[in-house]
Amino acid sequence: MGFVKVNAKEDTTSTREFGISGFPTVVLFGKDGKEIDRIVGYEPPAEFLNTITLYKQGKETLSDYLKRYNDHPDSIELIYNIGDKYEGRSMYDSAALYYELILKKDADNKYGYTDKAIHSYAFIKYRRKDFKGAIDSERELIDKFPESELYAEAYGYIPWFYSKWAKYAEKNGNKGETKVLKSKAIKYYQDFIKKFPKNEDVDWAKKQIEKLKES
Amino acid sequence: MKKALLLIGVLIPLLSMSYCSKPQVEKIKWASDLDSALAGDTPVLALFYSPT
Repeated sequence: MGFVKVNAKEDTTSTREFGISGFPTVVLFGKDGKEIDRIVGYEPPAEFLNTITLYKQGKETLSDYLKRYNDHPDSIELIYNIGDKYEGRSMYDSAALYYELILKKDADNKYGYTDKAIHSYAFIKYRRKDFKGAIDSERELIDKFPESELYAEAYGYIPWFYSKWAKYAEKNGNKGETKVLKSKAIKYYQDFIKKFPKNEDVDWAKKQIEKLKES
Repeated sequence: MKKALLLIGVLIPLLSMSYCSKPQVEKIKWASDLDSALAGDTPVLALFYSPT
């Protein structure tokens, strides 16, 4: 096995070529140089080793899921996992197709993946600079699934998307829009803090408000 | 003299035993050229990172 460390700031070509969307990302390539699969984000050592071992056996990979999906086209879990794999590879159009399929097949979240799919879809919309769409998705999650484990997180991401939208507007020289979006971001961060005072992200939300007020 | 014997007869074997019994961990040799690694005929594990 060969090991390669790629500094994303120096080797931007490889980073773009392999659609790296977050750090750290570990990509396992086969002998033929083709990607077997990847791990996006940090995993604890034991979990990391287990995932790599499974990948080497051809299990729990995107191609494994796609093969299994052919035999079980109604498995919501498989559909979500495939969407998640495509998202990890920055293949957002393909990921969106699978997340949309979940919304059609299990609108009531009977299998527990619909809220996750909406949340992931919000991120895809954000990456496509569709900030309003991202916020609408989080609102949909909040309205439809108040029991979801992602409920508080969805609340917290609404102001975050507003702040990113404000940055985007500022970059494009829209001063008036930037001001409105920043004030909305602050308002929704304050709502989040009020609604979830014991949430672990409260300090982070307070810092975001300070940053927005200073900028 | 007694101290020297103790050192030769007991401490040195004990210390070398404890050293030898340590698990030998193979150090990973990281390369930095992904293209060259992928051109070879072995699997490759590539870590993409962003220094902060």
